[in-house]
Parts: sequence; C-alpha cells; structure tokens
Amino acid sequence: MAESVIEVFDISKQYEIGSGGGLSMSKLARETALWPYRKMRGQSVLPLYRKRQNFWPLRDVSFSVDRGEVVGIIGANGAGKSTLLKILSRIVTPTSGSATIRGRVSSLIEVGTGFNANLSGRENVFLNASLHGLSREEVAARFDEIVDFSGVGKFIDTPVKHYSSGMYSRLAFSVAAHLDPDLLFVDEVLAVGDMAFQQKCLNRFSEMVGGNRTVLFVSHNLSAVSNICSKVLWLDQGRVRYFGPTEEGIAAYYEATMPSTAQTLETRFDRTGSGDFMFNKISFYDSSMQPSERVTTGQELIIGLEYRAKLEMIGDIRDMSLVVIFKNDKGHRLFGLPSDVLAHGQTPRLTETGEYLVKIPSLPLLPGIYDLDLGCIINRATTDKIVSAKRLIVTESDFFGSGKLPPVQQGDLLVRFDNEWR
Amino acid sequence: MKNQEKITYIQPAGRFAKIDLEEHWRARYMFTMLVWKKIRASFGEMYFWFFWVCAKPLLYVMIFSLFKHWSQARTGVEIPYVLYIYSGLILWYYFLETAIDVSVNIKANAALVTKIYLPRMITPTVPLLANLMDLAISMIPLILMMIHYGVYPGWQILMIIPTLLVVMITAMGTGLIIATITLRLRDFQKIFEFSLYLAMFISPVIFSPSMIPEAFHWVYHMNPMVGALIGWREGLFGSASFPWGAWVYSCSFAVLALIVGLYLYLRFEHEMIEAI
Repeated sequence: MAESVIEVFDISKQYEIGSGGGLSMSKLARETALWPYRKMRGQSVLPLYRKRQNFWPLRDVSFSVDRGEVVGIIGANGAGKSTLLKILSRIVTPTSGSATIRGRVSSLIEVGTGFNANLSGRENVFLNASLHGLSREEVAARFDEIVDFSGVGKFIDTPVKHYSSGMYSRLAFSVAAHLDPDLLFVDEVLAVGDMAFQQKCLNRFSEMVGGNRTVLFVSHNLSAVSNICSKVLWLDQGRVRYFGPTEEGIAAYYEATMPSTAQTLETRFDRTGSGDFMFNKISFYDSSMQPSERVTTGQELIIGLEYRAKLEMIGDIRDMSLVVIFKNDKGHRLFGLPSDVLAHGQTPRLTETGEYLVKIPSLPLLPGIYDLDLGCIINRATTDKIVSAKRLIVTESDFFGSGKLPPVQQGDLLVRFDNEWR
Repeated sequence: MKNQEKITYIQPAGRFAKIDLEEHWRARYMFTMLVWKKIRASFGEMYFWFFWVCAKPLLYVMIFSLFKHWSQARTGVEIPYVLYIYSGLILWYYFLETAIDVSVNIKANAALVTKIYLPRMITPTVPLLANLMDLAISMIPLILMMIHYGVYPGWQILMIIPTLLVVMITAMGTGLIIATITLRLRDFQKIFEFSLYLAMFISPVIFSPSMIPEAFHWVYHMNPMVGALIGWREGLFGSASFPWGAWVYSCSFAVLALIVGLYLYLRFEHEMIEAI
C-alpha cells in the first residue's frame, strides 16, 4: 500500500493588500494631535490602520502525495503555485489549514541561496549546502562530486564574482543537485547555463526523480511536466482545479486555456511568403469529422486547412505543394506531410476559398504536446509559411495493443512494423 | 527506519510560537557558517581591516583626550582617561552595532529568509557572535595601552564574562523589540539608532559618574548599560568596589528585555518575512 508523505488539509493563505503594512510616524503624530479636536467636534476618529483589502492566493487547498510520486504544479501566473510551495517549505505560514510532511525536505525556490560574490566557490558550496540543512561532514563527502558536476574545476578557489554567469549558475545548480533529500520541492530552477548544461541538469533531475524520492515541481514548462511528472496539481485562482494523472490534467489545462477549437490564422502576421495563397484557419477533426482538440495515440486525425487564394496572381499552376510539419516540444521536426509527394502530385483543385483536408489514419505520436508548421509552395515559390500554427495535444492509448508505450527517451514517433521481436 | 523519519507539521502561526530547540541544535553548522560569512563579508578584501575596526573608538579617544587636556576638567577617574574612554567605547560599539543588527536581521537576510526555511532564532543570534570578532580585535590596542600605562587586571578579569553576557542579552532583547515595533512604525528604526548614539553621552562611556551634575544622576542611571559598563571596567582594571545596585538593574533589564523581545518577535516574525 502506498504511504502518503505529504498531506495537505484545507490550506488557505490570506494577504492584505492596499497598505504597505507600515504606519508612518507623521500620521500617528497628526492623529494624536487632532484627537481632542475631533472628539470635541464629534467627528469620527480615523482608524490608525488603513482599511485593507483581503486577497487569497490560496483557498482550501487539499491533496496528498504518496512516497515516490512526482507531482507537477501547474497554473497561470498568480494562481498560487509559488505560495503553496513557500508554505510547504515553511517560509511563510498558512492563514488556516495544516499539512504534514514526512522526511527530510530540500526546497529549491532558487538555486544558490546565500551565495556571496566575495567568497570563493568552495566557501559558497559549504555555505549554500549548510543553509539547506547539510552538516559539515555531509558537504565534505559530496564536495568533489559537486565540483566535478559543475565543471568549475580549478576555479573553485576563486571568488565567484570572477565567474561567468554560466559558471556561477552551474555551481549553484550542482549544490542543489547533490542535496539528496527524501522530498524535493522545486520552483522552475532548471533553466540555467548553456544548452549542454541544461540537458545535464534535466538528466540529473530525472535521476533525482527516480527511486523513492517524492518531488513537487512548479513549472510553466508543460512539456517538462509531462516528461517528468506522474501527477499534476492544477491551481486556478488559489483553488485546486484538477489533481490526478498528468496527461489528462495537461489536456484539460490546455482545453481551458485555449478556448477555440478551430484557431483562426488571420491574426498571425509572423508569416512569410508572397501571400498569393494564405491559410485562414486550421482545425482538427476526428474520424467522424467532429471538431476535436484532443487526439489519442493511434487514433485517426483529420487536419482541415481553410485558405484564400488570389487566382489571378497565381496564374497557371505548374506544380504545387502543401506541407504540414509535426514538431515535438523541443522544436525538432518529426515528420512532414507534403501533398505533392503523398498524393502523387495530385494536389486538389485550387479555388478562391476552400478547405483542404489531410487524413492521418493512425497518429504515430507518443502522448505529449506537438506543434504544427504550415507551408504552401506554388511554382517553386513560397506563398505562405506559418511556424507553429497550431498546437496538438496527444493523450495516451494502447497503440501496440500491448498495454504499454515506449518511454519518451526513445523518441516521440511510434512505428508499427510488420516484423516483431523474436 | 520509519520511526526515525523527520515529521514536519505546518500550521497557522499561533499566538505563542515555541522555539524548537532540537531543530536549532541540528542547524548548528548553518549557524556557524552564517557567523563566519558575516565576519568574512565585513572584512572581505580589505587590507587595513584591522585599522578600520579600531579607527572609530581611537578617533573618539583622541578628541576627548584633547578636550580634557584643554578644559583641564577633572574626571574623577583613577585610571588613565584614555583607557577609560577606549574601554567604554569598544563595549558600547559592540552593544550598538549588535542591537541594530538584531533589529534589522530579517531585512538584512531578506535574500535568505524569503527563499529558504531557517530556524527562527538563527538570524537574530548571528550578529551576537559575529560582532564579538570586532570586539576581540579592538581589545588588542587596549591591551597595548594597558601595558603602556602599567595597568593590569586582577582576579576581577573574570567579571568581563558575565558583563559581556549581560550586554549580549540586552542587545538581543532590545533589538528584537525594535524589530517588532518597526514592523508597524517604520520611523522607529531611525529613532532607535539615533538614541543609541545619543545614549553614549549619558552613560559612563565618556563621562564618569562624578562628571555628571547631581541633579541628572537619575537620567544617567536610567541607562541599563551603566551597570554593565562599570562592571566591564572593574573587570578590566580591577578597581575595588563593585557597583552592585547598577549591576542588578542592568541584569534585570536584560532579562526583561529578552523575555519581552522573544515574545514579540516569535509572535510577529512571520509577518516580518511577509512584509519584506
């Protein structure tokens, strides 16, 4: 039976806004001096504290997390994600409610807390790790590993103010990556350093996530959440809107934050091409031509592309190609659907306005988030090109009939071979 | 294994917050590192740090010795006046700087306390120890001067330990009280700092009791540091009579200030962090 290590009961947090919290000396003096006068005239005595407005960044939040679970906390800015993390890290206290946490917590609201520019790298490592609750022996035991991982090398005894900003954040992240707690609370601190180091951080983070460690991960990066987390907690205006499996949560979140099913492209001005042919709208349909925003792996998907063409400008069409390109969340192109290749050069007839349909019988994509690029080439000249015209959310299903899908590290594409493993 | 696991309860801040002593004991390495960092940060990369620590009291000593010399004032002090002023000034500066550091401890550590959980009594107690470094360094010129004037302490030197303790407790207590008051009355920080500088002149730092007109003695003895300062000098220079009355007053003030300060601080500490 799974054992819950974080239990949160009805936590609310109230902040007072309006006044900065202080009462100035001059106001106190003035009110004291005027007090007899006001009293005599029967005027109301002004309250010394300005009337404040209440604001609830968190309202009745309850959830529980089992040992080893990795929970992504998502939501719009100001939804209360960071407040929740600060309460669970004991930086601020809740206004009401309670929580129980079992195990040693490392809370990474930022990396490199307490770093001092004048201290050397070595000194800062010991200082920062001590602030995270490590003892001297524990830091000493991990020190070489931390330095190795950061790649700071022989500069470890140089004051960190002489470091490049990349070196600085690498060292800061390295300490964070070697804290080795039972529970890890992270607030979007992964984006440090150059690309290579970012990848190293993500790998390290995935390693840290494995095993018995329980993780709360606050992020705006939904693809990172969907890669790493087994559950998501979606906060909306301080309340829990969803708490459960990642794929469903992210899909629901997308549906709520992207209201229209068919997205107009007329307001997209970041396009290139002559404009003689332009895409107006892109829609997704299921096999019965019903508009749908969500597709499951292996399901039939029909992409509708509405367009407007200036036939007199285009003139004779010698050759024409419409292209839809699928990209993964890292921006890598996965595959394209060029009409001239796939339809044996028989691109459907062009009219003033119309809608082309592209049918994919079995969508070969792992659950996740994908972006679509659109392009149209007529007579070897680009008439329209839109990068990331629309986003596609793919949810989980049994593609191979085996009840399992390959891990995402092996790639985003699924291919059904006739051959089997023997 | 499961029984040893640390369990953290998170609750709304209550009226009477307790200090979790075990948690503070576990944070001892963190505390040491913060003390060390404060010392390092104040002297980092300075070539003459030794001089800067002693410069202020030495300058005062020069000025007041000249005043005394020109005005031919009788100080009623048995030991050389230079020793009298200098020893008083270094203790006063320790008190003044520590009390101010304690009173602004949350603001000074904003970068830490808004990002990481620290046991609550860590940040206010760091300056108590870190500032002892300044005091220790300022003792070196004092010892040199004592050798020069041929003034040596007797067994009474042991008295400087309880005296220092009283000063530390007073600085902590008043600092915590001021920290809480300035949460609502921001101007109070300046008033507090100002009165600490002023109080130096109505205490036995520069003027000995016999230099104060009889009518103002009650103001002079209101200062809770009087007992501590006299005790400090008795310890250092080994004069005979110990000022029991002033000493008892200093001690009781220290304890009272600490109790009130702790009560207020523990109750309002979470508001201070949110107010940053």
